Order: sequence, then C-alpha cells, then structure tokens
Amino acid sequence: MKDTHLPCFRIKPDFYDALAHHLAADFEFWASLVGADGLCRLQLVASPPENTSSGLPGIPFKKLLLPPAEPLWSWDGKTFQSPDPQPRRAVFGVALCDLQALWYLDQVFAEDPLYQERRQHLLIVGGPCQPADQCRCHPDESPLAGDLFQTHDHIWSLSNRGHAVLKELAKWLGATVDRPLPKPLQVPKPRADIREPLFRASTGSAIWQQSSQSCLACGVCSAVCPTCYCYDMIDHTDLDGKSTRQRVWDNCFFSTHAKVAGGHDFRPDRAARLRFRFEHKKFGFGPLRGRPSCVGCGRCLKACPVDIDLDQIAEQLNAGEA
Amino acid sequence: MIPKLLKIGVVHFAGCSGCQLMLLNCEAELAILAQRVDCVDASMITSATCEETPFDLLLVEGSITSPSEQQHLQKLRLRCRHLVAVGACALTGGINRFDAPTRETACTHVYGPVADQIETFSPQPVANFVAVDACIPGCPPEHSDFLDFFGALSCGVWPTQRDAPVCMECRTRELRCLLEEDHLPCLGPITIGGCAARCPALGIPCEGCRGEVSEANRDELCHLMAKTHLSKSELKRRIQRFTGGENV
Repeated sequence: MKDTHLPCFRIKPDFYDALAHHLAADFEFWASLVGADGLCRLQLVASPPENTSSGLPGIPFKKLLLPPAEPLWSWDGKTFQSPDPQPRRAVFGVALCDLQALWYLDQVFAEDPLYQERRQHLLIVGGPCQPADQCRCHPDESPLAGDLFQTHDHIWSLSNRGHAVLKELAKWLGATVDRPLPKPLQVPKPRADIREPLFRASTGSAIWQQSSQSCLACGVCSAVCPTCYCYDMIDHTDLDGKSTRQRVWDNCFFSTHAKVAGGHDFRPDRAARLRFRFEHKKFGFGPLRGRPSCVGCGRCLKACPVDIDLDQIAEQLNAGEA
Repeated sequence: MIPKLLKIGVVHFAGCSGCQLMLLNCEAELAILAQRVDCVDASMITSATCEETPFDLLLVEGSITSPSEQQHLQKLRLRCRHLVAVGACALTGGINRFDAPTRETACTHVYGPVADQIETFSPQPVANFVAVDACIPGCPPEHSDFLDFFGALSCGVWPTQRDAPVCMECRTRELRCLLEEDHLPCLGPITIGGCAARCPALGIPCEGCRGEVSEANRDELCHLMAKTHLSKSELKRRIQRFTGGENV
C-alpha cells in the first residue's frame, strides 16, 4: 500500500452535502447501521451517514458483488435471458480490511462478467474504523481497492473514478496535503502466520482432528468472510417451464462441497475440511498463492458458535504441538 | 416444452395430512400445476379414487404403524413408477415416534381394554418397507419444496437436494443468532435448510422439522446447548422430535 502517493485533500464544511448531492442522481446509498437487535448490517440508507465508523457489518459487502443466490441466466424454452441490470450503489464507511478483501476479490473475479458489471456499478468510500477485540488486521500488508476514503476533515482519492468525483467537487476541497490514510493504530493482536513447508508437513497432525471435532459445519465462517467466494450451481425450474441457473454461497465444511460425480469426496471429514479452509485463508489459491486471503477482520472468530480460531491453530503448528 | 401429463396420487398414512394440505395451499400455482399433473387419487384434493391404475408418481405422507398399512404401502409401490416420501412422518417417523418409550401405555390410553387386540407397531419411516426415489423434507414442507419438485420434474429431473443447514440461510438473511446471542436451544446448525430460516426470522429457535443434515454434529450441539439450561432429557426430546427418536 503506497499511501504516500494517494492524493489527499482537506475538505471545506459543506463537502459531504455536496458529495451526497453530486452522487444522488446516479447512486443508491449504502452504509453500515447497527439495528435494534444489536447487529451491524450494510444496508440501503437515505443519505450517506455523517459518522462513518459504525463498525464492521456482520456480512461484508461482498453480498453486493456476489449475492447469496445470484441468477446467472434464465431460459423460458425459447430464449436465454441475462440477469437484470444492476443498480449503481455508493457504499460508505468501508473499513481498510474490507478494502483489502475487495482487492482480493477483484483479482479472483477479474474475468467474471457478472462480478465486473456489479463492480463497475459500485462506488466505494472507505472510512476509519475502531478495532474490536477480534480484529487482527495488517493494514500495510496487502493492496486495497476502492474509490475514496473519508474522515471528518480529509478525503483521499484511491482510484481514477474517485479522482473524477473529486474533480467535480473541487470548490469544496481545500489544499492537497501529504497525509497517509488513517490506519487502525492499535490492533488487539497480530494475525498469526505460518510458513508453508511447516503447513505442508502437518497433513497427519492430530491438530486438525482435535480442532475440527467441535465444528458444527454450520457454514457461518465462510458466510461472514469477506474473501470466501465458493459457490454451488443450482438449477431451478418454475412450473411454467422457466429455468434459472443460480450460483449460491457454499462452504468447504458442507458434505457436498468436495463430492464429485461417482460419489468420491476429496475431503471426506471435518479435519480435512478445516485444513483446507486454513490453507485457503493463510496461503490463498491459484495465481494468488502465497498471499493470505485472510484480511484479519475477525468476523469468523466472532461468528463461530464453537470458537474455532485459525490463528490459534497456526500458533499450535508453529509451536510444534502436533 | 410441454411435458407429458403426469398421473400422480397422494396417499396418507399416520400423520396430520398437513403435507397434503401444504400442497393444496399453493393456491397461486394450482391452476398451472393442474396443467402439468393429473391428480387421480388424493384424499384432500379429489373425490376420485383409483384402485388399479398405475401412478407415474406417488407422494406418500405419514408414517407406517400397522401390518395392514405396511401391506397397503407395498401394493402401492408395485403400482407406481416413482415413489416420493413427503414430510417428517414419512421420512423418519416424525413426531409419531414420540410414543416409543411408552407405547403400551399410549395404546391403552387410546384404545382402552381392547388395546392388545389391535395390531400396531411403533411408527416407521416409509423407506423401512419400500424403495423411495425422492424425499421432500419438512413438517410440513414449504410451498417452494413442492413447486421446485414439480418444476424439476417438468424438465425430467429430480430437484437438487442440498445439504446446507438452516444456519447458513439464517446468517445470509443477517438474522440475530438465537443460539449464540440469546442461548436459545436452536437446532439450526444441524437441520437441513430450505425454509430460509423461517422460525429464527421470527425469533423462534429452529425445532429441526426438516430433519438432520447428513453429517450432523449432535454431540457438539448438545454441548453448546448446555448453556440453554434445558435438562438433558428435554434436550434429547428436542433433538429427537423430528428425527425419529433415534438415540441421542
């Protein structure tokens, strides 16, 4: 993250009103709000919130890019139809870890036209965050994506699109300042990493069995993870003969996740599935191998009903407790 | 594509008929459903009965509780090309299985002094006696279960059977976790989804009516539920309610 090069401007008092006014014609506004039940959700709002740090939404904003059940196409017996066009959305108050997750998803879905269409329709405005107990982010570690980053007195442009927006609002901007993005100063605990050879050698380790014994395979860890993107393909046919193919959020702990035609299961038990999830989060996959896909947002740790902690497993492996 | 009209029947054994009623309650879709299927025998749907004609598809609701029911079911199996077990009673014995530990007392209570002359046995799932081609879970099933089922059939395939738990649907809807946050005895982690977390969305813990996922981690859920202050036997009954009273 080369934030010394990010253009930053001091803002004049009415800047946010001007920004909202400028975007209102083209965009829906989305922001994180804490509901009466105490849960923080990213939701449609009437206007951009004044306070930008309302905490991490339980389900990250991947839900806008990869909806839980997303139609890919439908067929009515005569013609194929593409999904409806996506609304333009401006998302406010996105924390740094989620901006890193966005960068990650952008790489993974670089060639996915539906993702790209949704992505083009999002304007993402980052905001400062207040680390919680489970946070383990590495703000300097990986690149981030997004368009703007706002605090109460400054705004940074993170992309060409962000730059273009600021250009339109030049009269509400003050001087350019050389100022880094405000990062969380105190993260409760650094994320535990592990070297890949040590992980590879752990195949037969009892740690996987022990740590996965309590796993309920409820799927929550990946539902809340900002970089989990596994999906299943489900076909659905209406009684009138209209068929729709959907991609639906999946989870590596589900019994069908690694099962293939003929009934073979590449990961037949929870120990193998936990090891797989650990590998994916700590080392990534494919061309991104070697870069953790975990951004340290701590959502899985907070949401897991049985407190499975990938960092604790890394620490155990590092300590040779196999 | 206009598929051939399927000759279907619904047969009812021990149960409340709620499954059949749920099918009948798909009011918005009944007219189009009637263009896809010819319902030749179903106690709540048509006055017609069909003694001999073969069925393309027979939906079976309810559990089997007597030798005569067992024989009837087996004869029906010979008459149908495909047999589908519908609802918790047909799939596991359902709540009818609750009699299991005190069956004699229950029979005496219901039948009085002639209890021992009536030949019955503890309610059994349909699959204990005949081959089952497909299952529709639930107590009762959702409208969408029936509609997806007949929709898939109209394309000549069975619907996709997913094994993802209610928990996943609950989180996807961003509902408050009743188990974690409120220490309520929610069976969402081990119950097959498909209901879009209907009960948790109303603040009611999942009661497991759609049956268990294939690799349910009951031990750990029981462990977690210790926080709910239910007694061991209450906990056991809760988990057994729709799963056929197997040992927990």
